[in-house]
Amino acid sequence: MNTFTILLKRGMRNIIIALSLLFVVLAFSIPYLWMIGSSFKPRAEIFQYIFPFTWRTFVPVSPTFHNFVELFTTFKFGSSIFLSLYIAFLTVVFSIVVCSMIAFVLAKLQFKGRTLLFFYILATLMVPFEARIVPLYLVIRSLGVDNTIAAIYLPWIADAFVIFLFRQHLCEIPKDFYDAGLIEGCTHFRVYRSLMLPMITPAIVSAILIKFIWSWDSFIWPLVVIRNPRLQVITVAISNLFSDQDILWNIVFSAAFVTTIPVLVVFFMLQKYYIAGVTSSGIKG
Amino acid sequence: MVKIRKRTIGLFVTITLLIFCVMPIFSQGSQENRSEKDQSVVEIEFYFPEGFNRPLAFGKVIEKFEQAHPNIKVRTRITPYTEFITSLAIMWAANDVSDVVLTNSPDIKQYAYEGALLPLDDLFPKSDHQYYAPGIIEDVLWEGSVYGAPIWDSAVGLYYNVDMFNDAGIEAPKTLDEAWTFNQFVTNVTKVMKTAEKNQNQKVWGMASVNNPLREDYWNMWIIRSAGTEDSNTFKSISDDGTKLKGYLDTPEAIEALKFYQKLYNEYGFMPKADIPDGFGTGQVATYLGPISSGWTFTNNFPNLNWDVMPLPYFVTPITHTGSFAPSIAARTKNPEAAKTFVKYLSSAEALITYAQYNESLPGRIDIRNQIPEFSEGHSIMFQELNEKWGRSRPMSPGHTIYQNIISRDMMLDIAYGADVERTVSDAINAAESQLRRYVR
Amino acid sequence: MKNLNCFQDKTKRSVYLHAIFMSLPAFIAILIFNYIPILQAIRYSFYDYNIISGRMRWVGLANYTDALKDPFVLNSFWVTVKYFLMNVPLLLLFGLILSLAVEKPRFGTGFLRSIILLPVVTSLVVATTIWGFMYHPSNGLFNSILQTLKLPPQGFLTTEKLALPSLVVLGVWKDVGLVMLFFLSGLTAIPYELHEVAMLDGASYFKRLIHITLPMLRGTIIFILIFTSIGAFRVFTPVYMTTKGGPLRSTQVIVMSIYDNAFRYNQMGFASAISILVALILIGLSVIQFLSVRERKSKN
Repeated sequence: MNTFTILLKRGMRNIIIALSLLFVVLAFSIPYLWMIGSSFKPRAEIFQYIFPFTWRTFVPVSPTFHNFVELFTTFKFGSSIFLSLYIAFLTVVFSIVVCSMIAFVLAKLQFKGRTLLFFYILATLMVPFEARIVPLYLVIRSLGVDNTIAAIYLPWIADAFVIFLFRQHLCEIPKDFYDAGLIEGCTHFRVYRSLMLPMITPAIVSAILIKFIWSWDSFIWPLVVIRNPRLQVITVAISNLFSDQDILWNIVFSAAFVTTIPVLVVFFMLQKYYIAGVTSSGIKG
Repeated sequence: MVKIRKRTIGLFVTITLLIFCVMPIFSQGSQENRSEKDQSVVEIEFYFPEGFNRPLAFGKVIEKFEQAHPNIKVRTRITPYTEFITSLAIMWAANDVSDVVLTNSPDIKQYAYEGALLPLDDLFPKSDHQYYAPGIIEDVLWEGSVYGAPIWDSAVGLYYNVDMFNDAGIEAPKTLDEAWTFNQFVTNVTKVMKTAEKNQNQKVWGMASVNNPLREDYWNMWIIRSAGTEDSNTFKSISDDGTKLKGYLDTPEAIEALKFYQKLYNEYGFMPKADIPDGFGTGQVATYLGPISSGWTFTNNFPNLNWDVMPLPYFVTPITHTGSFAPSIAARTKNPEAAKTFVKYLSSAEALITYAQYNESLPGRIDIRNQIPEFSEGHSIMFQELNEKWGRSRPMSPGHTIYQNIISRDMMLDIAYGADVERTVSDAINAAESQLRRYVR
Repeated sequence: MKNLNCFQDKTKRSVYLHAIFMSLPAFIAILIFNYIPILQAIRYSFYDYNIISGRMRWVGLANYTDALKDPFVLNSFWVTVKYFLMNVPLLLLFGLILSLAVEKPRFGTGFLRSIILLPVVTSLVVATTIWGFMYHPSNGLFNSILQTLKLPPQGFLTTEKLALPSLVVLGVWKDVGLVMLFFLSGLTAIPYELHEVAMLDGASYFKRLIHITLPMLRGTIIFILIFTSIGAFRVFTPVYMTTKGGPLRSTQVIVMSIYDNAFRYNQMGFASAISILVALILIGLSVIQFLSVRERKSKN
């Protein structure tokens, strides 16, 4: 094989890689860009330039901030955002703490009935949520917490996925680490807190993102459980814009755009934990 | 010693977390606590779907009501319109029932049949029925008693793009007598459509609505019903007891009409098979099947649009569907007297006039309609005429929600998408009748 | 070490105490918010329970036998299986490829990761609206491209045969970012030294991938497999917001059936019976997946 063929092959490979990347970037970002563009368009313009696709589909011909002003004044969206943020924060904090503790128990502590506990948790994933709405609501009512914020996030704290995820990562930490911690005279809890948790940082970060997005995007449950018209989470607030007689598209898009911002912020803050090599330090020698 | 302390800390942290869970419960007291303190004031809950300034409109009405009745407080509960029925069902399942519920009038029979509503004959005695358009009274009656307050009514109307029609040299009918047959309608509007397509260099549709393809009996079944003469089974579209469809939905005339309906979506390319949001406002649709409130939406949001209304087309008998939201009282209410006082107020001229200032809904009583200026001018006149002269309530059944799902939604969607008409109709009739069997008395 | 002996004595008791206290919050939460509702749902499944009237009539196993005989329910199961068979492999494949592409922090990987996560972050309402336009039967983006290539336009969401695959594409687009994240967190746990040693031995990228990376990702793969499988079986919102089960029930997934029966036909008992059947299937599926991967482990 001469140099020319090698260079050609490498050139071809680079072109293919570049094209695939371009395709990926476009495929993933186009809908989002369209949403942003539409949120700055007046109502009459949003669907004017959809068919056919041109640059005008994405860039407003007469851009306006009116939609956002309306969103925060007439529709009081700011309070919805605060409410959703508050709920998401509580969900994430409680969930990470509670789930990591029980995952630790499942992964590291040996005791009779451990497998039973594991399946006890796993089985909860199997019943679709929609089937549980009515009885769960009844439980919430009998606890006396219906129509409160707690009713929204309490059922989300113990999440079998997250428990499973943590357990998965904890299992992969070699036993030597764990025993080392114990020998130095720490209790299991201390080992859990200071040694194991930092080691599964990427899993915790994933869990934060999952629970945050899950809580942020949830619709049916907050809808069912809250009667107070002043406590509307963002998804319910957006859904209010779809009525039998009209759909306030300009507000829908500006609201949708605004709701993606906190999630992106959370993600950017957690970015650095995904850099390879942060936790890979293995056992030397 | 050190070890024990660490374990205690762990315990302490866990307990603190548990307390954190419990704390918000006490900081967010449910509103029911307040009313328990003041025994002389009764509080009732009023449940209605969000949309089109309803919270604002009801807010003003409630304000006036509470001024006139200081011993009754009205608390509102609102859900998005799209989840209204689901939330209602969950509410009932959990025995967490609002006292006054804004029900969709055709569903009233179902709820009354299940014993979920209180009769309201003392508020709307038979002697008063003459003041209402016949359609809405038919809707709220069950076994001779009124179960929903017939305070609003409506009609399906047809808007059209005046500029497009002018460009094609077509003149739309202006009165009910001039109404077109469906064949005339399709021929003329196709001309308009094609001219507009040439001018705009993009696809233009003949007719569209809020949801495409048409998904509810309000919007789509009138087309099929108009294929029959006034007393025919085709016109009725369902048996009188609301449980049988064989012989009503599958008559030769109905099948003809359904095939025509299918052609509108497929062969003629006349109606879109997917949503065109704001299609009429942005000039992609020549005619628009919409409620009375759309007129004001167009004026407010699309200043360049030159629109007007025309009568609905028909096959044999002209018809439009009527009905609207009707407040009803839950049978399980703890405050029936207060609830009735509120509903009675809602039906008063004062309340309806106040309400109409924020949400233009046509009152059920004809004499009140004449008292509201917005309804005596512009496109409202056509809607009123449609309602009074051609208006019929939707196919009535105690299993109406089932009919809606299986027939008006699933079956009509399948036909719009191009499925074999006879087979789809017979499958749907079998599926619906097997569910509706529960309601045979 | 002087502490060793007394530590050994306490160990068993310490283990049990820790096990109890640390798992207590989750255990109680699951009991109250998961098991009690599930048991209630099971109870409902033995009754003919009409939500509106509140009437409950004992029917024993009738709901289950009806569900298993009902052609619509069986069709829903089949549709859901089809969705699962398309959705899960695609998510795994693309999730893996993307995670490998952005694993090493290079120029643009941070940007690329964020782009791939955009769909996860975009609200489902907006995502389904936009995809609805891209799929539009006459003027959507995909049909514009097809027509430029002189191919006939397709009704992606309005044609029986295309609707479900179109929803799969939407589903993969929406979730692949999350799967990529899971793979990434699994990849970061692989010590780089293993790759170094293999490269010194002259192993190519693919050889390293197959013999080092994949085996070490086994746990992550099981997790992702179960996560995506259960997600695929429980898919509801994208269907609810676009096709609602049509056209001609080609996208009527099982949760859509449950929803329709519970809240549209007001048959809570029947809907609960279907849900329990789904749960049993999912349990069976997870057990199978678990055991088959475990077996492969023991072969090694």
